[in-house]
Amino acid sequence: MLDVERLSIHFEDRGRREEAVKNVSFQLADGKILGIVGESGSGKTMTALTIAGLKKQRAVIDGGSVCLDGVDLLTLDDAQMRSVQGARIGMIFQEPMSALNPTMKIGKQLEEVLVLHAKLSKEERRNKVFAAMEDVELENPRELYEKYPHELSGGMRQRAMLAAAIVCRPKLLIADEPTTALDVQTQDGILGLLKKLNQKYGMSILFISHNLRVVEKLCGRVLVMKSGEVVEEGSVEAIFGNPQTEYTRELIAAIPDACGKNWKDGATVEQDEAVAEEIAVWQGEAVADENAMEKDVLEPKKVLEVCHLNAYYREGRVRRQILQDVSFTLHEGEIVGLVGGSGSGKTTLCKCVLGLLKEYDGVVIHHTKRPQMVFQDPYGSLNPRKTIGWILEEPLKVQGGFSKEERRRKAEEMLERVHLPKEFYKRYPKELSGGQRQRVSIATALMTGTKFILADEPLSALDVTVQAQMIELLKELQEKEKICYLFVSHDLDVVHLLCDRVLKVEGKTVTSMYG
Amino acid sequence: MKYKGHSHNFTLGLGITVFMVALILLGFLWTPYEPDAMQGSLKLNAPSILHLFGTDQFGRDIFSRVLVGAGSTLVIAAGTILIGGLAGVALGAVCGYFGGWLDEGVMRVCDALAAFPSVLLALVIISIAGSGKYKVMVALGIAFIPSFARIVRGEFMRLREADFVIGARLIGVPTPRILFVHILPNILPSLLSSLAIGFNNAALAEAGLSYLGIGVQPPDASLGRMLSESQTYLASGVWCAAFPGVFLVLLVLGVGLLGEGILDRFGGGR
Amino acid sequence: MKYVIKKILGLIITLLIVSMLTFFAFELIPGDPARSILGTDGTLEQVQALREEMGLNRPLPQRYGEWVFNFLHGDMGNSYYYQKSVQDLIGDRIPITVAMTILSFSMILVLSVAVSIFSVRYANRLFDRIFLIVDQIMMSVPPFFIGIIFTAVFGLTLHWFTPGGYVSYEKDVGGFIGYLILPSLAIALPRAAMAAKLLRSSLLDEMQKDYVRTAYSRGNGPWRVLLHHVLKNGILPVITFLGMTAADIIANSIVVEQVFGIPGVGRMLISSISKRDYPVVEAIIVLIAVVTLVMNILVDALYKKLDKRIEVI
Repeated sequence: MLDVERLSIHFEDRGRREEAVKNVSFQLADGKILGIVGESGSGKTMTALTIAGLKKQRAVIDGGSVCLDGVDLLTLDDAQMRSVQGARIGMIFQEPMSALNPTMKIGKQLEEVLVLHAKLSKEERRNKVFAAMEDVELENPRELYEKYPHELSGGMRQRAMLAAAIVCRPKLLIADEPTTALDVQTQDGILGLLKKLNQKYGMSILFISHNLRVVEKLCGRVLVMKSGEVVEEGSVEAIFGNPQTEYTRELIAAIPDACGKNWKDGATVEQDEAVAEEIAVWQGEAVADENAMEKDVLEPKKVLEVCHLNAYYREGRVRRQILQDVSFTLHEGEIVGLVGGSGSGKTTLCKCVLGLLKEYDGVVIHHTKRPQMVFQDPYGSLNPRKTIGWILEEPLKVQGGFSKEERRRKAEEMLERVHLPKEFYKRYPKELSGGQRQRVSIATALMTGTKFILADEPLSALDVTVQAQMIELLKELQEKEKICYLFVSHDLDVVHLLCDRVLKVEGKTVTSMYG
Repeated sequence: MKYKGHSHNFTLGLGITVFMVALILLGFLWTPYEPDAMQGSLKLNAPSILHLFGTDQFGRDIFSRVLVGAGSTLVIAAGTILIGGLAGVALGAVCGYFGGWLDEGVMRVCDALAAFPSVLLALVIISIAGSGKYKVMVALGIAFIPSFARIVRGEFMRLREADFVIGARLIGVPTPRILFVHILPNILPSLLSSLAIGFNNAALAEAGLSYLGIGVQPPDASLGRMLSESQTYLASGVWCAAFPGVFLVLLVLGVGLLGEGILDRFGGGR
Repeated sequence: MKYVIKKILGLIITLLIVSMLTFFAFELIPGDPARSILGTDGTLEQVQALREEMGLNRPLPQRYGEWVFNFLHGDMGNSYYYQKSVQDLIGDRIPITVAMTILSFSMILVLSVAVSIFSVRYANRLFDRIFLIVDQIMMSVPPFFIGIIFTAVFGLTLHWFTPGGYVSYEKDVGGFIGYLILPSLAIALPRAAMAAKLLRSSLLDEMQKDYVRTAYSRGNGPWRVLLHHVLKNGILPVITFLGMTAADIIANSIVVEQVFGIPGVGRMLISSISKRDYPVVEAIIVLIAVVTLVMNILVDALYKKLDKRIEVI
């Protein structure tokens, strides 16, 4: 039904030519679901947008064809293409909030498709809209009709988007990362819905995602893309069971698959390795002060103690308790996960630990220098007007007592420790990639000489392969420099992969979850 | 989507501004004729090689008078943004970063002052303190404090929660250093462009006040007063109005483009 | 509801500050109003008697209280210069200034919306480029200079109107409005240029948003996307600017009334300032501040009505 033949697209940007999609061909048969996976910049979204006739003006099609039921969409003029969009191709996007018009009622937005593509009376249109809402399992359609997007939850918004996309019963539904912005439970709901619509109406689905696990659940066939090219194509079983290319294997390996397995085993193995390494060090050094060493290993130094912490949030005169009687201790060289739903008090706990919140009682003791933080958004955490060198030297300037040369030497050494080239000293943050910026953030934290870093979702903005590299760096620093991390994350897979133990914030208190 | 790095606005604006300011500065040192010298034989002469912009109803050379008049405008506008800018940055930075009751109080007064159009506020101050070049400058300067304070406050409020500022606090950077070394450079583009807008508003306000006869007083020449006097002779000497007006427009246009260009080139906020 | 009460309280506090600033500022002026009324001829006894009559001998806070009380009851005091009450003096001038303000405001709204929509629809094409140049120049011209140009072109050259030939609204409403069109346009043009520029960039920002892509994906054409989806969202950030426009129009009308010889509130203000007729000045200033503040509140309410998301906060 959908037949993409040797599609090539490039960007023209300030005279520079950038190939976005190179010679991509694939077919999607009636009633089937095809997944396209790849990291950002792989051209998967570009391909999808081009099929839907939504490519940006800067993108130029070099060749190829996109045939829907034998008609090449690329040869249609604007008006002809518009009669296809919405009627025969429906589309849903990643961010349901921004994809909906914020100042237009949900009902009006659903109805618009019918206004454009069907000659129906107002009453008929309304009934069709209500039917579509029921199809996507939205309750109280009549009430929802009058609501605005911000009054809905994330899952409901995506369902509303989906309802608008299917209200004209298109033969092809293009879903561009539709579950990425949603939490796991809502994700499953949307996936189930897509499957149901696929079966009920025989609607073909082109499913774009970077999340292989989701693709595995939903799709019959998978297309793997990298830098604009198709790397591999095959059935789900073939791709996951027997990947042919190195890149696909990398992608699959990067899926934190701890969920399925018993991760306790994994942890034991790691611990064994760590112990083995320690022993190797002992033997090599033939230490004199064996006792001290032993004590060090048996009783790791504490870096943070939190005792009977109560934290409050003040809103006007009302003081709301967020945390109640929280106690825990963190040690050197330990990675501790901190999990909890949104609004559970995770952020409040972090602020207390960092000393950014005044509204608390109880005791927070730091056994190290100032705690440092690595932020979620790599683009906001470095001062955009300063060079990397300046940023790295700032902790030394604050401490005082270093000459200019010393500061520079130390900054350059630090760059090497986080595996960045020395030349970055003179660069500005905007010249660095997300992963590189996160490395600079870690380096800045280490410049203060701290042993404790609070990392707030430091990986969630990064691509999976970059994530894997960052995890490596975090572990390396943990082992070599005995850095303790409090690792805040909602991604349980990463937490299980990385952390020695986990603290869970729930119902105002913190519970410890070991393996 | 903005293309940062090169900007036609910036180049053109800088060109016009430098040219106009150079011309005006020249006027401080030298003018072709004595700006107040009247020549009865040369009343309302059209522009010529001898008198580039023609002569007025008293036979005074308009080019010389325009240079000197624009000089007053430049001094007043520059002084205004210096007074308004310095006080506004200090107030805005402190209010925006610390918030709290201080912020509440200062912003309340700023709100009250902002209820007056700044020209009107200047009018009030002038009607109390009297007119004249420097009084107008101080009056406008005070009238412009709230608008600068608001802009700077907004930017500091936005940035005080920025990750890199929290990071700096965790490192232990002293607060004044956070305010002026970490945050200030980040708001410089938007500050500079609002200073440019302020300069223009001040220049136009001064011209308006002088047009009404309550701004710059004789013997100081001023573009506004020239325009007001020219109205009587509009039928027989259009150039009396055209040249002072166009000169003012060019100066304002140049600075306006420069302000835009700064934003295009160095980016503002988000 | 809580929001409304909060806003009204804020308005009252701000008005109090405004009135205090105005009242006490004029008290600071050196010189005795009684003396200036009587001139140098008045004897010390006469001055004293007049001071007593005008209530100048009572303590400041009490006089402020009385002034506010009387003001709220429509009594704005007496002019020093004219032997008339202030409300009589400015009463028949207010409609003139109000008419000009409304005319200007409508022109700004219509011009800026129309021009910026075309400019965004044809972004980076010829129309847009010409618009950007003309717009930037327009922003740099002071309204009173535009007024002078209008006088020279439409008055003296084309003879479309008689400069200085103001028509009273009591005699001929059509002629009155006709005479006000050019002055209003002179005030409107620079401000409309600014509004159009802001609106253009706001609309262009909106065009980049995801919901625009969604709209296209449903088969909307470019005009429909612009008018049905983008315009309403794009106008929101500009509404605050449009609210401040009222104050700006009034400020500029002070000067433009002078250019066209229109006997509005602005001219009264200027002549009272030069005559040091402070009760008139005070009254006009407080009135303008009230109009500005009320406009701000109305704009705020409009903003909330249009942008449903704000209610959440």
